[in-house]
Amino acid sequence: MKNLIVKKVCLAGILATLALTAHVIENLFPPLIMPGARLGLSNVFILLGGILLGDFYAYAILLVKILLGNTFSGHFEQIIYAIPAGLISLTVQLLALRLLNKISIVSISAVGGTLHLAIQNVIFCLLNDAIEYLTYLPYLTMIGLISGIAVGFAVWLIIKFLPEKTISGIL
Amino acid sequence: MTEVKCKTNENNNLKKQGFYNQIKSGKIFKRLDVLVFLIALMIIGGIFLGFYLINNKKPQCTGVEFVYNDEVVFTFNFDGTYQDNGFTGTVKIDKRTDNVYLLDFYFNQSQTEYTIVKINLEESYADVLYATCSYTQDCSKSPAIRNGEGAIICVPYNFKILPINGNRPLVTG
Repeated sequence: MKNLIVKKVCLAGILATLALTAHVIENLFPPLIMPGARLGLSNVFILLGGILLGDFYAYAILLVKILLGNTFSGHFEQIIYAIPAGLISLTVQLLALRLLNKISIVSISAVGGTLHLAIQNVIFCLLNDAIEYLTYLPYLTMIGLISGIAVGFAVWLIIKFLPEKTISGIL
Repeated sequence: MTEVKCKTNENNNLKKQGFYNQIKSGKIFKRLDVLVFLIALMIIGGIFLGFYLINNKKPQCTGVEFVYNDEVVFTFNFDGTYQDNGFTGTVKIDKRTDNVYLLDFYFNQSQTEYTIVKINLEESYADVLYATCSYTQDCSKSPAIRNGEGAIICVPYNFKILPINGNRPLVTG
């Protein structure tokens, strides 16, 4: 039992590090088309955490990524938008995992990506008192959908081709 | 108690094993995915349509206003007139052509922190060309304000550029 927890914490640590690295590297580049629009590659590791380790570890990886990632990249203000957006979209994705026999991981991730950018945009508008910024909502949701598909595809590829022995004893 | 805890852990592990196996052995797309994507695209399409209809009903954009620390500090109209409403820094206005103006907003006395805004009167647009706020340059990557649509926000300097959509009187200066 103790051995299992140690293995899980180790894997969660590795996934959190990968998510953090992906987030920091992505932040070094300018946004794709408009501010806030990013591929969100770190979400690959958060979703993997949810699938392989469970809900608790997925939330832990998400919080580590947001708090440390934005601290390292110097975007402290982004923590305020990223926490609610990340928590809501991750909760929806973790709940949708229960429907995996009917819908694919790509769809689940696409819904999560869309929600994430939409919520982030709304919170940004409310906090900055700039309702005009909502005009970017349709574009951001579209970008969120596309990046969610890319993330979902990456998760599917990793699980498909990851040798089972690498995660033996955890599942 | 321990037995109950063990059973819960066992159930959780089975659940995770289920997710893992379903993805590992399943196809990349399933039938219901079509429905999910259709609903998502319909919602996004609805948002696009909603904003299109709202923007169509908006009065014509007459200019842009510059908000610094939550106060309108400068206004520039698309007829070439402008008004300084008490900007604490320095504004340099450079008329490049009859229709193109470059506005340099300096936020400190040593003029090391600044934002350069391009305004085109003919096309009724305002765009941030360069800012010293952060290396990612989010504000200069923002789409330009065109025909009264959009907004440019520089979070580090608490500086905003917002369109004036005719509901406020035209200022002269």
